[in-house]
Amino acid sequence: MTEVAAPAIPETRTRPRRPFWHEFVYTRASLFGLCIVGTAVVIALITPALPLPDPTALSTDTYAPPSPTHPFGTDNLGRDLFSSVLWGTRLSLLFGVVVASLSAVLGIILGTLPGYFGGIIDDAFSRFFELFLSIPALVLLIVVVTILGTNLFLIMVIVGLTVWPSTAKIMRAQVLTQKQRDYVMAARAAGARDFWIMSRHIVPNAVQPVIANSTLLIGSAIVLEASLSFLGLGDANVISWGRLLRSAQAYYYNAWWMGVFPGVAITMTVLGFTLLGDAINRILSPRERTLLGLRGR
Amino acid sequence: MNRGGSGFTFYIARRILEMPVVLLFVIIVNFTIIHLAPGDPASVMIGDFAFTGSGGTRADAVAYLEEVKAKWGLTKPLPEQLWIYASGVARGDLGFSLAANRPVLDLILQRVPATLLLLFVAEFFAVLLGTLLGAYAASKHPSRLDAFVSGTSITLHSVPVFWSGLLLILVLAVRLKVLPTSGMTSTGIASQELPYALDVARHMVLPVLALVLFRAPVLQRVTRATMLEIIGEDYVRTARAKGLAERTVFGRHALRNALLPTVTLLGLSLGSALSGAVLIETVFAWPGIGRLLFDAIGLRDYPLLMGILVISSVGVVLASLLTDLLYGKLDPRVVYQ
Repeated sequence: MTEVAAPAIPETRTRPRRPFWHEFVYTRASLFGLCIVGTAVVIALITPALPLPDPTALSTDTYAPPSPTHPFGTDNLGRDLFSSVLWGTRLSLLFGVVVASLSAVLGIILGTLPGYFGGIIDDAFSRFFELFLSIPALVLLIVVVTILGTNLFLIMVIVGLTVWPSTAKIMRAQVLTQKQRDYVMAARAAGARDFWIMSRHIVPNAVQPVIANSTLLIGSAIVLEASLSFLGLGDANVISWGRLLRSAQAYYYNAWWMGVFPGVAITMTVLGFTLLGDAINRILSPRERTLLGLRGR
Repeated sequence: MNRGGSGFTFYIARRILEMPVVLLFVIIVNFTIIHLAPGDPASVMIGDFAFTGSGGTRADAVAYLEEVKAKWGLTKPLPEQLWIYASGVARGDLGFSLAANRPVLDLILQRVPATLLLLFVAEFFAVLLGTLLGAYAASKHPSRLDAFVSGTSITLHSVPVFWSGLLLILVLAVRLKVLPTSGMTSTGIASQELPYALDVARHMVLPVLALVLFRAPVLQRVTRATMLEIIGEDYVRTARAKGLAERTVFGRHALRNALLPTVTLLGLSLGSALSGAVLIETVFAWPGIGRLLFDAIGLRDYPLLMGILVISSVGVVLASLLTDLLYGKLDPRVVYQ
């Protein structure tokens, strides 16, 4: 280890704390994840400024295989797929981030309350989680979106409402351990009220695993959006990778590329968020077992 | 199971008593959706089909609307409506699909076997492959082989299940033409036992493969992580110290215990497995519940959609009850409460 400059404060930690980015560079997988997510974000931001053909513009150049003019080929209506896939990044990232944030907010509130108060409230919440988890999420989403309509904002809210239990579960478990700590006792002895203790003491200390979980949830949300669009339940006004794959189904024999590139985009983006979430998990809670089975070093 | 007999009976009784609660919860969810939907609840319960595709006159449609209103008491106060709806579902009356001109329950039950067949076969291979590869990766840890297997697993986990289905069709059915693209049987296949079974098996290869690619990585990761943890435990060290062969230590001592979290995960992720099946049935036109659901989206067949939600939730709860029982068989330390 080269970091000899670590402060010589007697700590319970056995090793000196290394800079946050160190973990990313240390494991190639994490670095890879960071690169993918970074690339996706850059693509989403700069796409409107790029000299790309309009992804909705029809042309007579139908079913053109990948070539320098059309790197991903064209579809049945002559639209440029490269442009479509790049534009699709915006929807996927927006969807993932909004859903994950919504789930984080709901999960933190609905996980902290039962964890903190315990007793009947905790029992009731736990039962409710169980009930919620017994409904297959995708089926519920399909039913709700079919009946209530395919408006992008509405779909984001509905998906957010179905994925929060995972966050709440993690938060509850965290709160259960945090509320036994001395600092909570001290705050209570100082006359702090429940709300103050929860919002100022417990949540900030317990929220770390939620950050990692939310990063993973961005990936899951992107897959859910793609699945719904694939089933024809996406917002028709935006370009979605799932809908690109849906239209590919009718042209297996004419244009294989229609069924390949949007899927690569989904897979890469989801993989990026998975690796990133895993890395964050490893950094923030080194003792926990992570997705990759690696432990903090 | 005689050990802790009364606790066990009590546990099972509690789980079975939970069933109506789950059912009621799903009914309330359905009921809420109907009332949140834009427009008249009655027209939601009929589905768009009454006004667009039934072929009858507008007067017929309006008359039918009144009939449905009367049957489900839609002019009455909300709690009474909920009661009428819930007791209807409890009697097995999930409504009537105008699009198919048949009761919803009949339509669904007809498709259950195809979905169960697909799911069971796929889960079987996914568990087999997932645990073996998980144990294998753990036994090679840390090495390039382990990194390779685990890296592949996490990459596969990021592939949306419908896309792997689509790729399999593109490569194996469209390009190489070795397997059929979709459906469960070929047209005009004799209904003799053996040729029929072989034909179904041929049609099953791709959808099962896609589902295994979707499910095995999750199981692989859990098995690997548990194995790595178990290897550090005392009883494994004891087994090694006794001079047992590494294979015996791994298979008999470690893997057997590593199976427990796999079973837990299996029970917890049945909803996810079902979601995968819905998408895969859509891609491969497999005549199960998922395909029925997909067709119901296109027809706006709301009663059928909600019926599928009820039945699939009940199915998930029943299946998780079964995994709980299996768990008790596998792990004698489990105490049912």
